[in-house]
Amino acid sequence: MSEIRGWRRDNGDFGIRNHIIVLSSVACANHAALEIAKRTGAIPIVQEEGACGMFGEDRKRFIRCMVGIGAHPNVAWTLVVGLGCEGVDSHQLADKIANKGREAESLLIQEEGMNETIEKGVELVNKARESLKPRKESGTLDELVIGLKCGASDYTSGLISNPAVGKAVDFLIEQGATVMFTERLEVVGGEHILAKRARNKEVAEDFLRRIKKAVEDVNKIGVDWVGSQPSMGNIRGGLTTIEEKSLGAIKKTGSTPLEGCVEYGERPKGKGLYFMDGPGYDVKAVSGLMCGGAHIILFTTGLGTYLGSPVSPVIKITGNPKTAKFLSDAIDIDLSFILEEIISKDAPFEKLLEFGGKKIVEEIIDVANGKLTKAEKSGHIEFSIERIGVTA
Amino acid sequence: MKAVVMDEKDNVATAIVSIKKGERVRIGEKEIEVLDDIPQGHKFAIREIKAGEVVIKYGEVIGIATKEITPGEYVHIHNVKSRYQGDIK
Repeated sequence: MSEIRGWRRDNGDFGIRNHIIVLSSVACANHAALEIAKRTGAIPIVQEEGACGMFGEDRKRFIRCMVGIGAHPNVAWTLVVGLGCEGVDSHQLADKIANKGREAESLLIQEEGMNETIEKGVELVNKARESLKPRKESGTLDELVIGLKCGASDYTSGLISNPAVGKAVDFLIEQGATVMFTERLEVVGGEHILAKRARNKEVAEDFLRRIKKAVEDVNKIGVDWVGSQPSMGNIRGGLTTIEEKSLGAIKKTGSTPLEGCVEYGERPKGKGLYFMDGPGYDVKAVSGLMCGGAHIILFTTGLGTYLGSPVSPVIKITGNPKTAKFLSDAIDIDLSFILEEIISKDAPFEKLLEFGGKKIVEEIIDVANGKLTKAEKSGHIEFSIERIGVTA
Repeated sequence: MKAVVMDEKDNVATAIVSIKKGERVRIGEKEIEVLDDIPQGHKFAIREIKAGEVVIKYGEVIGIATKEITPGEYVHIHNVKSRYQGDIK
């Protein structure tokens, strides 16, 4: 098995990045978090919506996601910055992260004042940086959690990039890794295929119940799906219905059993293939996978996107020759040669997809060992949590 | 190759290059005359599909034909709808 050099955390987790992050626990603290990050070079993760005035499950998932970030294997140390009066304050979040066996500090603006919060924050980050260790501890492929996502899909997604990812996923799971896919509406039309692959009846029922609810939630609104699922971009890219989009999308999941479902931002407890009950919207899907502990996210794209993640390196894969050429600064793995080989030579499709799968596995190992993805190089740190409730 | 059929059960093919109206395209053993301009990545019928019948790609149902579709005709949102579409208010 390929050895990976990274960082062994005190709680036993193995990380492939060693990020210092400044996490705002409410938008009212974004300014302080961004300023601390700007002055220190730490990675800011700030709230663009919500994070206060939440109720019930909505609040619970917010806490789960925040703790998931602080306890993420790729994070070395976290500073949580809050205002003070919000529903979930920073001290509580830092305590919860510490309870996971990870290091976190917290500051509240109402306790310190704005300037003092920023100054103290800068000091804490600089101190934390001094104790960072180099990349030297070894881990293995089976310790990795890989997230799957497709965005700006077109006809090449279901034809090339998703099935190639499926080949890589089968290999990773055979090696003992954990793989999560998400996008609850983008399995619609293919849910029976995944239910058949479920480990047992309970998993199949749980999975089908979640997908049924997702469909009902959209139909309750009483609108045309066309334009949203599939999106106008998908339609221009040749995808006609959500079923067609989904049947292409689920090819990412390969062929191994579905072991279970996890909530948005929840880390799977076992090995193998898991479904995270999250949305398809790229930034919220990628953020959910990140909060759920994904070391790396494989992101297939047809029309192309630059989206990244503050914590989980995102590897972009395309099978579309135009996208590979015009958005070459976004694409990490160009599989468009597969399409060209089929067009010009009638080449054996299955063998080309297997070759594509091998390229993806090689890239995962390189990125795990420190190779920066295009999104990392260009500093993409988009982040947003899916909310499910009313705001007070 | 100009078009791919993902599964033998399929009644549509995906154009992997742009195909002009009137072009003859090889699909397996036979040739089909394409009746509309088909943009790259879009689909055309390879069998007759009656209104109300299922449209099949990847060997699975991708929707229902909303009007009769003849072999070679463009297949997209103008003549196919999702089976999951609920009532529109």
